[in-house]
Amino acid sequence: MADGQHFSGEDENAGFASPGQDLIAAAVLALLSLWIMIESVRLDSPGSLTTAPGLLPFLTAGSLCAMAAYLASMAIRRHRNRIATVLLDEKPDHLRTLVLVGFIGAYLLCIQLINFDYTFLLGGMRLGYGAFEVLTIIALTTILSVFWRRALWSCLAVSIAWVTLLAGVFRYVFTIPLPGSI
Amino acid sequence: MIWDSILQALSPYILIVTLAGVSLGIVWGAMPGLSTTMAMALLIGLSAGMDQNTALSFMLGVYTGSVFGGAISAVMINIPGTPDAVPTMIEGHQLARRGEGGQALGLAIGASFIGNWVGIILLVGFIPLILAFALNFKSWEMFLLALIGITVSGSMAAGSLPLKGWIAGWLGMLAAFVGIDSIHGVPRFTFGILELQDGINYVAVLIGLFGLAEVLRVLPQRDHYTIPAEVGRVVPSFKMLARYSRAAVRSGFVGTIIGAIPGAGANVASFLAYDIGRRRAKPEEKAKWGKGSYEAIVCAEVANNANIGGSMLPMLALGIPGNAPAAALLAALTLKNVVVGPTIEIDHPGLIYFIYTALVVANLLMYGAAIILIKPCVILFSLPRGLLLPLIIPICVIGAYAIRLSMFDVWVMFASGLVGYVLHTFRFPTAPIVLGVILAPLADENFRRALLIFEDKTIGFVLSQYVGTFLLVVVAFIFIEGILRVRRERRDRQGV
Repeated sequence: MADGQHFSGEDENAGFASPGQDLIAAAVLALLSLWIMIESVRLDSPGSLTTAPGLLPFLTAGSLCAMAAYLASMAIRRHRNRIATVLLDEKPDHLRTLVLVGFIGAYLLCIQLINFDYTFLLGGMRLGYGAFEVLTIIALTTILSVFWRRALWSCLAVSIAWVTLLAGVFRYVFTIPLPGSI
Repeated sequence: MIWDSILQALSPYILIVTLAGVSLGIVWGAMPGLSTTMAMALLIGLSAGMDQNTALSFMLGVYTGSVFGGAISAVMINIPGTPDAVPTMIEGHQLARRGEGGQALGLAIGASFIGNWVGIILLVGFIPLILAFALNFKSWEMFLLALIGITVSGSMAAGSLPLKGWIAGWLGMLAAFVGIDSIHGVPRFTFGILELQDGINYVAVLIGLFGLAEVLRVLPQRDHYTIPAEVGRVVPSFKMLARYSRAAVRSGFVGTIIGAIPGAGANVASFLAYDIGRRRAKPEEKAKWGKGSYEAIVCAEVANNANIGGSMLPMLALGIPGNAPAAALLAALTLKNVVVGPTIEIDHPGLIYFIYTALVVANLLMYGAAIILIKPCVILFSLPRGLLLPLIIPICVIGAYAIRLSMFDVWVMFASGLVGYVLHTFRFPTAPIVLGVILAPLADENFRRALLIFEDKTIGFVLSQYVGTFLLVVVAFIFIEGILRVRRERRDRQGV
């Protein structure tokens, strides 16, 4: 490729991680597949073995376990031979990601638990503004103020405009109810 | 029937919706970090409120528009809007720096237009053949076909380490086994949770993996990109395109064929066509490769747009999506109770002709909209990611909720986003998961049916199913080739 560009698959990120990461992944996958194999065997089977509901899940989990073992063996060999891992340009900030996950999780929990809908008449049309709009504006303003880092009023203005537009399109153009609405 | 379908696709309302889809797609594709798959996945929710034909036209418009959109930021700010626009970026930005950005973008528009045509023509030409062949597929063949879809997807997604692609596909399959078993009605892996009895909705998985995971990955990063330079006049030059017609046709074939292979999408198509183009170029043109070659732009843009038609081929004929955006399109169709596959012409007469016409319309509209939207897109580039990406979060929530009006699906989307982020960190590809989730029910049902048919039969009888045996050999070949590729890669690294 020109300019030293190298392409090896549809997802350029996919490939060897550090041996430690690959080993952790293999261990988790092995545990997951063993658990699924046990659960597959425990499933009711009204017919013969060939039509058992747990048959393909068992085979899939079994082969996944074998793949995890192969991944682990490669990771160990790479660690022993000290083969370098090709590093990516990305600089992930896991702490900021964790904060973001926390914000989104709390926001979803609020939508799940808080339900209300305030309706009013405007020009003969019945319009609604519910829990989704209010909670999303609060959540979006918070996230914007952390990651966009502008004045709070700017974040609030963008949130109100965007959420009202989005909710309006879904509620009135496509008549799709929104979460948190009664 | 054929004319009815064609006329429906040409009705003013559908044309407006398609134009909206194309425009949205171009703007979305042009935004660095917002991929075609993400656009398709998030807009499934919006299409849920539309009727079948409108939703289909809208989604095809988004697909066509966003594949081209990636070229705009690639040429103007040296950041590919979509990953398949990397070759266009390498060449186009060099031209933009020399003040030829407008001409490069004009050529990219023309090449995309031609690429779409090649894809559509090959789709129309090959679909009857594949349909006629696929009608003879029985349970055993359908199971193997689904397995091929997942394994090839794994191999193509994680080029140097297919094992990780297969693992991702297998994880998708395991997720799809959750719910009531289709043969005996036995609940599988539901653990007494009522919502799990309906299974895990793959649209929610799609939105989580390609929408939320991307937000979680990109938003916390602290780097910024620069504000673009002037565009100049955008002139789609057909005279220049005619000069590169051989490269265009060749790249169109490459793009369509790659598109038809499950898991191999526009990225593989554009890189492969770019590489083949470089090898086949005349010496004077070859010297320009990497320094601003118009022929290279033609190769990449024709291929990634021809890929659209190619990806529709296995999806419509076999029910196996050619890539992740096609999987999103399949999800949108499923929401409208449209089951694609070998019996599509019997179950949904006229639908194929509607799709052909919608693709042609989307392509024509893309050509016009691209010229108009380039300058507004360049203005939008100045928006920081810190502003743009949080706005996607409510779309993810509404999109997941709109499918079944269930908060459970929103939590599935959230969990899928987290899984997608973790898998990305551990360098697993995510596209095979979607293929796994979509194809596992097909594989499961047909596998057990086939075993029931083969009960009390000899191995000789199983092997006498020639198509099935051929497909079995293909599965074995994919695994062996993948394992050999891993070994080769390991040897190369040890040599470094």
